[in-house]
Amino acid sequence: MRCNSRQAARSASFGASFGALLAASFALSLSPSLAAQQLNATQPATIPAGYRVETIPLPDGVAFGVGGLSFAPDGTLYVCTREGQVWTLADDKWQLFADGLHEPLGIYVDPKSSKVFVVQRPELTELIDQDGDGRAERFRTVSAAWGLTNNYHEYAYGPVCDSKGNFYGTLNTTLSWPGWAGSDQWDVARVHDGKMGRAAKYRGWSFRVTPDGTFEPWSSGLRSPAGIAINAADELFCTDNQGDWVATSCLHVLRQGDFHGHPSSLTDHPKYAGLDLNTISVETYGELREPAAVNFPHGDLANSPGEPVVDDTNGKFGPFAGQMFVGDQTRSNVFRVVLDKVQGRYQGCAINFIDHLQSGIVRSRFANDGSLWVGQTGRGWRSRGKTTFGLERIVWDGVTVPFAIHSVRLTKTGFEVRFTRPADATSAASKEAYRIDRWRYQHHPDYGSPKFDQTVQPVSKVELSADRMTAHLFTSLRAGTMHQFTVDVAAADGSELSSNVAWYTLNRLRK
Amino acid sequence: MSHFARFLPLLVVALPTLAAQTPPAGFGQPDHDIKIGVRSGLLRYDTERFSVGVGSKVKLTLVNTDEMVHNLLICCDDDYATSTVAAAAMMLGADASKTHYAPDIPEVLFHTKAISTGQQDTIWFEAPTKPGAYPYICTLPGHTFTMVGVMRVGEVDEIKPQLPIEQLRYRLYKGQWKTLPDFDTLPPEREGEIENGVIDLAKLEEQANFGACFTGVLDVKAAGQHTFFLNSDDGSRVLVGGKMVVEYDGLHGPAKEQQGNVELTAGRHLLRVEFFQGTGGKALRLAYAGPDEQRRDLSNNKNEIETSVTPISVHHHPVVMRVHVEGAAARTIAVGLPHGINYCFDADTCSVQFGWAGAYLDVGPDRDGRGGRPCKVLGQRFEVGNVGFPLRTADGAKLRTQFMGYGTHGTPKFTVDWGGQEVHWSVAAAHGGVGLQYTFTIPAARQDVQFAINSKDLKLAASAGQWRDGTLTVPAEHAKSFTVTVMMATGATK
Repeated sequence: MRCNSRQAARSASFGASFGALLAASFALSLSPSLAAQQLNATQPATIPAGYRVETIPLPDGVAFGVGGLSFAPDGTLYVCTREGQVWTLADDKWQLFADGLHEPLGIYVDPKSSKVFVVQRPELTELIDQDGDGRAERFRTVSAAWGLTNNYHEYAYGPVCDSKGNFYGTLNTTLSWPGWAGSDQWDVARVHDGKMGRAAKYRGWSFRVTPDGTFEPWSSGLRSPAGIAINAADELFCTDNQGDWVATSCLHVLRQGDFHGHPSSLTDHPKYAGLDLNTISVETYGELREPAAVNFPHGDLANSPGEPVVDDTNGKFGPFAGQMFVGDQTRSNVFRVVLDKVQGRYQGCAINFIDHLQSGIVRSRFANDGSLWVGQTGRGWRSRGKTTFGLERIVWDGVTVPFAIHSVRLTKTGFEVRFTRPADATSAASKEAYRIDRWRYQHHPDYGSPKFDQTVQPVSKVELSADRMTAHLFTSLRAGTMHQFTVDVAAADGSELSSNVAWYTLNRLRK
Repeated sequence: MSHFARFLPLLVVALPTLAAQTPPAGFGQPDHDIKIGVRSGLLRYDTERFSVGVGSKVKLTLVNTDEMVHNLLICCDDDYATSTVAAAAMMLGADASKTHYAPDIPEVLFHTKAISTGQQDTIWFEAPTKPGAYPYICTLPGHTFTMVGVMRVGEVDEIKPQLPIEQLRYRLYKGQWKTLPDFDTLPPEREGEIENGVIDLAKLEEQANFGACFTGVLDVKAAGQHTFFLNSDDGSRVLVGGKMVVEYDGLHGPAKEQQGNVELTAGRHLLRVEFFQGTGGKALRLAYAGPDEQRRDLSNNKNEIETSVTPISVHHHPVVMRVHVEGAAARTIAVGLPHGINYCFDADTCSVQFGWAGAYLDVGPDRDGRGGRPCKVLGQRFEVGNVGFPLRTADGAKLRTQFMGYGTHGTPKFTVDWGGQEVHWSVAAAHGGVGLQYTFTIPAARQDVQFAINSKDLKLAASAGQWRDGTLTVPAEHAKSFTVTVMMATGATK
């Protein structure tokens, strides 16, 4: 049977060179970026012009499956790993900050107090370095109010923090398939024969923990919500992974009280207390749910997305300020998400950005200098790339504006495709340059959904804006559909698009 | 050396451990050359059984490939020898390292030095003239629980092992398959003999995309139905006398043991085992049982097992990890204390669940593949009479508890909100036996406090208060800080 043995090979070769680099760094103060460039000459097959990828040297001989990233106000990077450790990187030096945590999959360093919080499987914990020796020796339980069994799938993610000091996180459902791991003990609250259930309280929920430690279930219906994000307006988002009741991987907006579609979690909803969830029809669940804001077509763009992160660098990371970046744990790519507010709700588009990096991506954070750090773990789901874990950063050169699809937005008459810089007038104004494939997904207990009602949607007219940056595509519109835009347009200077496909999720029509 | 001189006329140990060691003058050629290593991080010898002839000349080398210091003491064949020797070693105190942790008592027959990583030490001795089972142990603190083995002494004829498979040979093939190929139509890459008669993939020195055909002779003792047990990663098949008995073909892990039955006459039968490996994990496990024969292995799976164990070692400081542990609660905090005592605390019920003596944890199940599976304890479990959070009010009432966290500075200490007052509970190894010592600190205590426990099979002690029916009542003046010691009544693990 195939399993990953790359880790060993990696620590042998790469580890040794890092040892040498580390020695050099004491003498020469070699910056990690410089070291990274020396170590990583190859660049991904798909990468927009002006961007480059650097590999960050890791502590020698340490299994480093990244579970969370956070920058302290002084610029120190905190990394928690699936192996239960927290490492800090400052002045090119790694230091072990904490050990013995239970698969922490998110870390948060408070930007004011520098207090360090992690969500580990059993709880939200503050890690305290009481004696100031750079090593946490006190582990304060902030909240352990959610249920937990020893089912491997009961991951916990977070925290992110809002402007009032509330913490948020998300909780995986239980792998409840009868007979899994030789046991039926987790076969609880599977609905309509789905694979996942709820063997402990609040599985499949997002949650809030107030500053005084009070736990509040926030929204239900999640399946495998592997990454949570918050924006400057305290709006919450999380990704979910394709599976039962999740047609394709997606981005949800987490509003208090929402139901996102996976029914097992309703066991802990006061409204459904004591009800047999199998008596509610599949169609009814479809109506009850708030559909995902943005779908990521499985196999085309994403297989198991991790954490979204909002580009708040004000342009230091290039022409995509305000957009979201999401890494994928299987495909090892990074893609962009552009939200479009329609009838007061978010929907929007997704566009591939970099494809692919050295290992599966679950976490991303922007550093003060505007570079995007991506934390990687390929373990468990066979990610693309040459390593089983790692840390890389994506740097924009500050000058080159790549020719890319900036965004796709819905209009009353069709869509507006915006480019990052002026397009070639002839091709950009031609109907033939845009192909729109349309389909819909089915919300059902099966694992993922095929594409139903696939059709090519005719473009009746194209209007190019005077600055040649925006093409207005006129086409008929239908709510509840997916749109794939394949764009054959060059820049005014002849440059090609780095990624020429965008996917738009049309939940609601613009009024 | 006084006792040794009486018991071990041929023992020579005073040689530098790293320099080449030579046998004592006049020792001559040893009859047995035994090498014993240490399984890294597991507190186990890699050889836990060996046999020598009565009065034979033995050369024994301990090779320390572990991170910790170890020794090897061969004890007399008395039932209580190991516990006597272990207890005597513990009493050596500060002088222990000078005498290599070997107590000067008659129960110790022979011993190596205590050696550290990368060192080895050889001793030469004449085996006892009385046949029997002579246990050997490592007497470094805490190691005695799991570093044990047996030297069997018997007549040479009696101990000469019958080869599991006689005339065992292999042919090795290279290629990529999804099911077993017809090996007879393929040219072998190489072939050879396996002298010890045990099927062992490690002998092939191949990792991926290869196949092998093992042939040999099986000496069947009694006629009747024989069962072959087969498991492999990837595909395999067993033929006896040219007839297929059991098959587990295809690309897969060693997921499920297969069985096949065959009627065999007494006497010699041709055995043929076919195997292929794609990429990733590889394993081939074969065993058989007959009418008069217990199930016995025909393959060596030691290398395979060792690669799947990821032990966490405990050195001078406690190791504290939150992980799933086999047979423990989901919110477990697993603590490994120096000297081989370990325990699981449950952060949900705020209680110590159980302890174990030996090495700490195999975290492989949590780290391999998707992980998240319960880790395995690497020692012998002992009970601590867990009844949930053990403190009661003066009138015996339980109060609501909430876990507040823990500290890892020095001895691990857990903080519990007990009905509104803070309790700090530190847990250390008990002295003089297998067990734990609890220290409770209740800064705001003003009244008597009770400590409840299921006292069955336990030896209990406390720094203050009175025991009555297995419940300790600590008077108010001592309730701010008191200790309770919980030990196995027999001093032995289960």
